[in-house]
Amino acid sequence: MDLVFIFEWLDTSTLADISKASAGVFAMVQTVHIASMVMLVGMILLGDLRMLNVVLTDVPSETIIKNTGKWIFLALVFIILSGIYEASAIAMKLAHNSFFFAKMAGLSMGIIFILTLRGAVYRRAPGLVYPAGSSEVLPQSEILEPWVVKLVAVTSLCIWLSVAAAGRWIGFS
Amino acid sequence: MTTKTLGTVAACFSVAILCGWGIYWGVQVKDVFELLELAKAQ
Repeated sequence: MDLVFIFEWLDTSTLADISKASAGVFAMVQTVHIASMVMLVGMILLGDLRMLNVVLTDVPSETIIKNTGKWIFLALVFIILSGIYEASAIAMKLAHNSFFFAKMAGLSMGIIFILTLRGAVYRRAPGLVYPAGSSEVLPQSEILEPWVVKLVAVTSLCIWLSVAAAGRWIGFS
Repeated sequence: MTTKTLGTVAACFSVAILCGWGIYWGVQVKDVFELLELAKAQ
């Protein structure tokens, strides 16, 4: 499917006029984009590495997943908004950049992965320790095999590191 | 969805994504090394 018409529309939009007119604003938006990406990958790393028993092993995984969730979605909102602004300035260049499409594919896959499998699997992770006083306890039959949780964590890491790498690669291609 | 089904679906999708990821980045890295070799030869 030819998507060039979307880039042509973006290239002639008012947003493109604004983003092309001011290099200073573009630089600030780019800073927000990169900072949001750092926050997103940082929060995801924290959750995934906890599930792999690498970091914060004395903190209940439930606490980490619950506390990083809202920051992941906030970072995604900032990434998408600042990304559209940035893309409008170089829309026609991106239309023929394979790494841009790789990044978009990775981003879409990562969001779907977070909303579906990652969340569902992490809620049924073995050794999940609930906060003190919680009456919520998973029955043994609802707990997943540890290797499945670790496999999902590695997959999540690969997806998001790919998004970051493809994003960086756009700058070099 | 039962826990067993979720586990199977999660494992299958994860393996598929990891295989695709490996192939994609394998090809990209190979391309970069070929370009570097080409640049050295010139």
